[in-house]
Amino acid sequence: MVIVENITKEFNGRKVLDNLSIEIRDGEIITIIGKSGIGKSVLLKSIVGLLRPEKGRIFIDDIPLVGENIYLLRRKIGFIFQKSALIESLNVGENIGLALKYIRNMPAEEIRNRVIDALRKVELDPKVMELFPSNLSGGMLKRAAIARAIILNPQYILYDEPTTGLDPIVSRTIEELIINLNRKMKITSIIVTHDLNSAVGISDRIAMLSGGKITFLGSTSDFMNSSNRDIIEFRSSYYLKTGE
Amino acid sequence: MNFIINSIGGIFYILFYSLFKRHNIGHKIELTFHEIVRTGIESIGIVTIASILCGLIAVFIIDQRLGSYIPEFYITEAISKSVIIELGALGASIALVGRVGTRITAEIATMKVNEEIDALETMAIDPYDYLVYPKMMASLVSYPIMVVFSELLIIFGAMLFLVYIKGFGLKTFLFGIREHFRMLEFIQSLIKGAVFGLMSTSISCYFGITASKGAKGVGEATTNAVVYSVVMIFLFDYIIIRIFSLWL
Repeated sequence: MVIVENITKEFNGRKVLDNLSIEIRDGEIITIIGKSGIGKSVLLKSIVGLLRPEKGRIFIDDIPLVGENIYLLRRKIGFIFQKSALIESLNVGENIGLALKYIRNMPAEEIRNRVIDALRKVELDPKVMELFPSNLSGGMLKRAAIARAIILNPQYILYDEPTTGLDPIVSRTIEELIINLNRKMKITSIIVTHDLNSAVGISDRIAMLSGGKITFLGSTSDFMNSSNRDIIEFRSSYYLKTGE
Repeated sequence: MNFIINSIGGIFYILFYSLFKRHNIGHKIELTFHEIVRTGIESIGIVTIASILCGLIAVFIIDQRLGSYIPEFYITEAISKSVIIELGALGASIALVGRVGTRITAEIATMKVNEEIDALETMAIDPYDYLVYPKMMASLVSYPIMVVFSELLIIFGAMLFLVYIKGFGLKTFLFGIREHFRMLEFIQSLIKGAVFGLMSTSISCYFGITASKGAKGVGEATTNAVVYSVVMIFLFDYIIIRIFSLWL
């Protein structure tokens, strides 16, 4: 379980997260939704310890995310960046096996087998191991980034805008992959997105982030039927933009 | 002013972190060896060209200004001293800042703006261990080697000029170089190489790691790295010369 307790994060005196609290249950897919620039990625990066809140605490499996714990807890967490963030100078296989080599000190043959296994789980041909990130399409990059995350058997995967910039068909396959990983590997998934359709399609629960706080947290159906002002505004502007 | 103070603090933090933190050396040997190849072997071309030209320029000036007044033997002394005390270390290090320092900054800065360094952190890989430490160790090994290589080439360039253009005797030249060689001066040049290498690499890594603002930020970081590296090389050159002047 991830517990975020009254965190405040400021940038240049502006409070992006303001005394925000949220609990994420084991095994669920939770999507944090909100307008662009509202602080969704800041919350996600705070949960993995890439950003340090000025106030408040974060617990992962009851262990506080501070000091030396950060590196230990990161071994339980996979993080999918918006632009995938594969290391450009390494090929796909080296990217996926990087943590096994430098953190787990595994022999090369075992790493190779586990990389192939991870690639198959994200439905990528093992031949892409030899390719470099610049040779991959957007959807393949996302899949390779997910393979890099799942190779360490994480309990949690944090997705930062997983379908942004992808066409609807590829977006759908990534969403299905997120659901499959959640169901088959029992991975708790925390997703931030401004893609309402995607959020509704895959989430067990949805949280609305507005004004630095969580203004709504509930099931997908509750979200769609909510009369919360922020949600109505978000829904109407989303459907206006997408023409649905 | 704040920027300069923060930068100097950050540079020395990287320097001391790399030198004194307890590292798990085992899995970094491969990375360090890879960096030695990139820092040293791939820089041989630029160091060779810079050193031979440096030798030709130095010997031309010495010969033009002093050649009419002093014997051949003392011209070789002037060359030997200037190369081993100053030109070898300075010439090679400035060439390496241009070739290696800029590459390190641009590479790390690009990784930073593409969130690749954040990605390393999320995999529990310490970016200082993975990116900075191998580069620092590679510089510690490569710079002194390149300094010696440069000294040999400068002397070779000087020999070409004096023996084949000015008609000096080869034996006189070699005897003069050998006669004026002092081990402490040579050690000083090796120490300069190591210090310049560590300083310029920690500067390059610091500006890479603190880069922001996309492509513009990468450009700014690279410029800052070169400017700070050159200034620091001259500053530490002066400090080392003053320290060694106590014995030389």
